Amino acid sequence: MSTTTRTSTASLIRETRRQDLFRLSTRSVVYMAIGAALYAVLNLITNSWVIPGAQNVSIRPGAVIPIFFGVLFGPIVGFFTGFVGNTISDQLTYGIFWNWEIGNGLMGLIAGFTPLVVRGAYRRWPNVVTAAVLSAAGILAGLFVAAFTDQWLYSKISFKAAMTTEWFPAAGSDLLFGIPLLVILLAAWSRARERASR
Amino acid sequence: MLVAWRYRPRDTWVHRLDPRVKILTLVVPVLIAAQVQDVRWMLLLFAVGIAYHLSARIPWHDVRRPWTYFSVFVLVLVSVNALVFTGGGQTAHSRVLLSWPWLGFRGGFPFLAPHAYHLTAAVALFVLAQALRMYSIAAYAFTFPFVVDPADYGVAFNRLGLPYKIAFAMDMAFRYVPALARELQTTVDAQRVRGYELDQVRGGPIGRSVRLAPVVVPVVLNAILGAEDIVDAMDLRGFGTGKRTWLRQLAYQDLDRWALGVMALTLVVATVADLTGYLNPWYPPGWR
Amino acid sequence: MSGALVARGLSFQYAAGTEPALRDVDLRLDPGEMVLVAGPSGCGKSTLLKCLNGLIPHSYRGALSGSVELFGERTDGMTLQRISAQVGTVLQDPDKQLVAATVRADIAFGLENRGLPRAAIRNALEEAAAALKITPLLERPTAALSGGERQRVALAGVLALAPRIMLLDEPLANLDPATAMELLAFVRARTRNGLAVLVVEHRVEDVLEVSPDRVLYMSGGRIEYAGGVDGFLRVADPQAVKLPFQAVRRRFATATPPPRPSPIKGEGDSRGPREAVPLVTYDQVHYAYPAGDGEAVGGISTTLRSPSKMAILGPNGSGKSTLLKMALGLVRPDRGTVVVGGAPTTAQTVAQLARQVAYVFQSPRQMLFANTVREELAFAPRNQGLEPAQAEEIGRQALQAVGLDQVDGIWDRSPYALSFGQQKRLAIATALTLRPRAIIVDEPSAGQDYGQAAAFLDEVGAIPGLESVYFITHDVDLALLFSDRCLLLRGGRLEAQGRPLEVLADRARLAAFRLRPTSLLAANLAASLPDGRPLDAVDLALRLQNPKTIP
Repeated sequence: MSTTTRTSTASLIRETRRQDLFRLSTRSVVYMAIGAALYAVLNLITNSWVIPGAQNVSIRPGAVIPIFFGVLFGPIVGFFTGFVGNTISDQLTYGIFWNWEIGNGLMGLIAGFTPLVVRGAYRRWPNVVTAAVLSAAGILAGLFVAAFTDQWLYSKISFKAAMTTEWFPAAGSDLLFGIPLLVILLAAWSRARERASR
Repeated sequence: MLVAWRYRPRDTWVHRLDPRVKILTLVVPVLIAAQVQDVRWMLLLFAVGIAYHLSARIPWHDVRRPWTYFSVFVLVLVSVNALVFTGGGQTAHSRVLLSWPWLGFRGGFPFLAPHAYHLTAAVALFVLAQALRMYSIAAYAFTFPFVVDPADYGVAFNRLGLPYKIAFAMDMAFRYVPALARELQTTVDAQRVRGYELDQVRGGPIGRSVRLAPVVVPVVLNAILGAEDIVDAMDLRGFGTGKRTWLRQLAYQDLDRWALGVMALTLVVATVADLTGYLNPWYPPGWR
Repeated sequence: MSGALVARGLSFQYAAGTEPALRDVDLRLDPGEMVLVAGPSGCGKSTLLKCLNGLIPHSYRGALSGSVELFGERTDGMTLQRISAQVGTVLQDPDKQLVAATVRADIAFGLENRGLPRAAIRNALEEAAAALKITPLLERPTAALSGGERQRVALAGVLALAPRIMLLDEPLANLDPATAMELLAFVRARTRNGLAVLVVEHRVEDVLEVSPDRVLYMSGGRIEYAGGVDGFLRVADPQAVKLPFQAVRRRFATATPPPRPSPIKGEGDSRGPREAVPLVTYDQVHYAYPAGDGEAVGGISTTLRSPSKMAILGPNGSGKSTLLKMALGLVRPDRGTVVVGGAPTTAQTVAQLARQVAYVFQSPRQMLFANTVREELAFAPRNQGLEPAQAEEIGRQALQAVGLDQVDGIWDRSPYALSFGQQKRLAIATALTLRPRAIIVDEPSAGQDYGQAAAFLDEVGAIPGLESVYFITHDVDLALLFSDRCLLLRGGRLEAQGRPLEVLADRARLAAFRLRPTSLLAANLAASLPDGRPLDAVDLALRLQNPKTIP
């Protein structure tokens, strides 16, 4: 409990928001489910069912989903979005390799620290930059864990080999697609919020 | 439906396993295989993995693609390891099985250099064990989607100790995949009408991701804004207010107890053997 | 005696709202009673529902005053869980209400949340499924259900909880008329066992068929009328809610009609100076979705002519959208050919086809993405390679054509900051920037009530330079009033085509299509006006009142 008697409304709101990030409300359950489903679906965008020919382009729009959901709704929703979303798309394409699912979860988890350090909406540049930096850190760290455990558990290749063959390519494409789309989505989101009724 | 789950009910002992046991097949064999370096034991684990995969009687054409892609991946990884990184940095002195004098690889830029290359027995056995290990783990990973009903995820994870709200979110995620796939398809169609083609998304990496906004922005924002009604629907049916029962009941059968016992025993034996050095690399006579 | 549900002096203003959504509302609902709450979109009826089921104040923030009593006990001290044990709510969009992966799991959802023993859950869910005749669907994935099946499952999920009060929020909005009637009749029958039912709906005509005991008529957040059906029919505004034709007629037999905007329907347009020529020609087209069961379109041959106004009518899942998407090349037929503007679709790109026939999807939010309206409108012209200045000029004309140019600062507004109606108009404007000869409008009534959809089609029909409008609908009256030609589809087959009054005249056929003959259709058929042009309720009432009136 704070000992200061004068608490501004803004900080009260911020206080409740912080608690919400760790409380599992119905709303966070729904955001988890939607985030994971979106991540799975966008991971599959280059599959032929979306549009013939698209599988020939290397695009990875899905990269933005776990970090965006983390930035908006906190670390738990972020982790779930990455972990379960990637599990579902793996389930639909290849097989399930837990260390990669966890790595994807960590992306969202670390990006999910943004609302703990950022005050207010993502309309001010400093906030957007914080979100982008934490998200980039999430991508780098999450995929590092995945590549590192790959080396340790499955392939026993050298650290250097694991980094060059797995970490750099995966993290690179996630950064290049994820961060710009994050900035675009945050801008669109803050405007869409203007009309929301709660 | 645009998305078809890979699960097909079939009457095999693999299908009959409790979903919790199936989840453990993704974890325990990894922990065992990770400790084995002796290529003979690795061969055994490989055989067990393949036997498990085959027992599920998944039609070959359903798994051909993952196996093919995976084999290419393993081949690349093994070659890179054997040629460039000397088998994860194997330095043990052993017999040279193959060598050529004119061109070799280096573990750094520019990777290729004019010096002799020697494939030693240590490296060869290392990459063989590596390939077998990866295949033996993939055998479980590739089986999983075909034998676990997506509807069982939530209850299985709940019974494995995950809070029920998170476990239920898993069920919900599976439920929304087909719906959001349809939304995505509609948005792609709507933008194609406006002259936008996904397969013409070009430019530098940043430009390319910006060009994806017409598809990503509507799909994501719509999904989030539509979530409010779902929250209402769940609140009105009393979600999250108290202890919850899952209608789907899981109970271990004899088969599951056997499977759990075998996995536990093997893991313990492998760990002890690893710590006491019994699983270190093995060389055929004269290859040392 | 205290009623099942009593509200006293209820007022509410949303935290983000600028004025109260609900003003001083009193209401009483007794066991065994069915009450209809009618009113146009935005009249406050959905907010009232949220106050009654506890979502306000539990989930929505705002200023609430007044009280709600549930069987004599005030609900402000109750948890949402306790309220929902007595009050079941069926939401407007069943797709949002179904949260579990299979039908069985979804009906069980509320029971599971109560922590009941499994046997009790199983019994209650099987009973509810049997009552709604969906037992054969129990193992189906919810994603694979048709619209009508979804609504049944949603209802079963609420019914399984054995509520004593049931609130239905626009249950007819997403259903074909026959399915809607079956559901209403089902709920009505339950009132005999003491269930209290409150139905919020603007399709009044359909609800009146199950004879609600009382009607509340709302407008501007207030209750304008509360009482019997007859009194309601005397006071309700026929342009705000859809009344039975006979009621409209009686109104104008005794009162002078309100001043109305100029007559709708571009009768002159459709028989315009130009002879209608084929724009899209289908020849024996077939299509089956990769993972679907059976053909979505099974051998259709027809022609969409231009200039014309055409309705493509049929129940959910009859292949309407699939057929029209073929004109854009979004769906390529498995067999047969589609010719647009003289060339087969296989020889043209989607973008080329869209410059002849553009397509406006159901929800504008499925396509709006840009930062500003300006960018949104420039998107298609820029994709065609036009210069920014040209693109802006085309956008300006399009915005003007849909009347959005009057909105303050519209150019730099975010498309997301517009109201739903404005977004729908913006979607039309983006289609117009392609400068097509015709546009296809998919379900103009999606997200809008009948009056809004009618006004919307009216405006679209009056856009200068646009030759034709082809719209997809399951609303018989919209097809009747806004088309000069009508295609009737069922199960992927074209069952009839022709002038709307001819196509819709056959009652047996309508029944087979799960479309109900509306009172307006019946009245138009009975009137058999000399020029054969169907009229809307008010016009027809005036005409019958005074045959010399030319509306």
